[in-house]
Amino acid sequence: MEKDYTKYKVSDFLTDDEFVGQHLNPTNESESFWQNWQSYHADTEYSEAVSILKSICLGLNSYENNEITEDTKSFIFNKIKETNRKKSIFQFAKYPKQWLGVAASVVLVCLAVFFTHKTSSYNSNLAELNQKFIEKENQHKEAILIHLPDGSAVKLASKSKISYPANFEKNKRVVILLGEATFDIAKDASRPFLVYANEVTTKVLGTRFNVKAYESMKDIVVSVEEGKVSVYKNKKKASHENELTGVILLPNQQAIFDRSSDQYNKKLIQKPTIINANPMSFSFNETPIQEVFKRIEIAYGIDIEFDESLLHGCQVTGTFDNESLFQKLDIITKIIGGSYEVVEGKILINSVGCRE
Amino acid sequence: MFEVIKDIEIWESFRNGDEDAYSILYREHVGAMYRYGMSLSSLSEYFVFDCIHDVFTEIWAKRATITTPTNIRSYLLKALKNRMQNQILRRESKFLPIKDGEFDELWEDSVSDEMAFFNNYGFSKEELVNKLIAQLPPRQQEALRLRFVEELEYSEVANVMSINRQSAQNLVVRAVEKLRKTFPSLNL
Repeated sequence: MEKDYTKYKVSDFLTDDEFVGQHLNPTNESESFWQNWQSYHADTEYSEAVSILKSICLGLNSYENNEITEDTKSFIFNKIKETNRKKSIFQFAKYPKQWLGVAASVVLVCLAVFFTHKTSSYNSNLAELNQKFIEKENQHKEAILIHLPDGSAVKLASKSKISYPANFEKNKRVVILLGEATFDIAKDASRPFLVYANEVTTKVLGTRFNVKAYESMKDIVVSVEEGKVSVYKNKKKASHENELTGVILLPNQQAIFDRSSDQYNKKLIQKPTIINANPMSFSFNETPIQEVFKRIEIAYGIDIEFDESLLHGCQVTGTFDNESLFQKLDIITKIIGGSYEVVEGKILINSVGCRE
Repeated sequence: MFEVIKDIEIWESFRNGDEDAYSILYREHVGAMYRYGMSLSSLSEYFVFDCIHDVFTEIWAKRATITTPTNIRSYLLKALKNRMQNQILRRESKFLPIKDGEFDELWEDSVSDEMAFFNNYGFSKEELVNKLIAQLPPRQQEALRLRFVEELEYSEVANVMSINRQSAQNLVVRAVEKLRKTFPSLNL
């Protein structure tokens, strides 16, 4: 600070940033400077400047105290964030006006491409029908029942649609699905039944199964209630059906096809049901564990894997009624001191055995 | 100094898209922007809210390209003032714009008599100085607010008011002279 403050008048002090800064918001540095300066200069101009500065601040109090409320602050900031979000979607808005028209049409085209791409698998699948076909769309809230020309029945879920030919071809029965449906297929070994749903084809002989393939869903889920089904990814050239890779599903199993990674995941359905009502009851009296698991396997049509030698000698006594598959397994594995896990649609029993 | 460094660091984070930093900037300066905006316009409070909104959405959209200002408060106050002026010009484009300062001559001397009159009615010192400042030409008031409340250095005051540093100091000098002339008669 090499200014000669001794020659300063009131106005000079008040237009000096160091002087004003010291009196509004003193720092250690400014404090020591001005204290030192004052002790050598008993200056009337300086003291009047200080007094005027204080008066000015006093007079500006009402300005300073015109505060915005916390609620208003938050309200405006929320609006700001909302606008920023919208702007980030329409970044074009930043460009000069003559670009706006072009920008808007670019966005529209993008959206159109986006949407047609989404439904394109349904539309391109329609080409498989190569003849006059019937399209049914369910706009009701409840599922509707549709009878197919071969006597099969389809329960079409809400907001789903299905297309099928007026008469099926001689060697195959093809339907195109978008959304969800449960199929109860008339047995006909000479004409396989094919469901094209997005990128996945489900092929069956005669059976009951459910396909979930909504256009917006990440996964395509095929669950089997009865019979045997194979599920595979659509090939561009449908002629090489033999080379298709996929999964074979048995009752109570489901395949989940991840559309982004093209990966299958085979699982048990959420609530496996008894598919073979058979004479063997779930009433056990010192029944060997092997027999217990066998009855469950047959009833639910699932595989149970366990180490026979380890579990040799395990017995189960008790009666099951309405317990679900997993409740039954919980109880049984507790009896034999083990646990179970579901891997790829099969049940794996972990136990160290139960020899006395 | 510490405050300034912190402010600049926050600004840098904000430029990198840090929403927390953006939020801090808003919270730190919205109060000053509000009172300054309110002092510039007799239009509704909502007009000032709108303009504050516009300033913050604008800097967010342009965050990658705007440089770091030397003083964030003066940058935001100036942005707000520009925004408000542009909006007003757009609304009132039919009328010829009046340049800053053209009104200053209208504020000539009746002030002292009036103040002496008020002084006889037992107003507090704060109320008296407040009335006195309120009767100064608007640009003198603006310079006082920016220097003595918003604590901007004269170069920053000049920047916000789009004038040079000397002119900014002159506005304060004239205000100070008026106050000094009036104070003796008021026994302040």
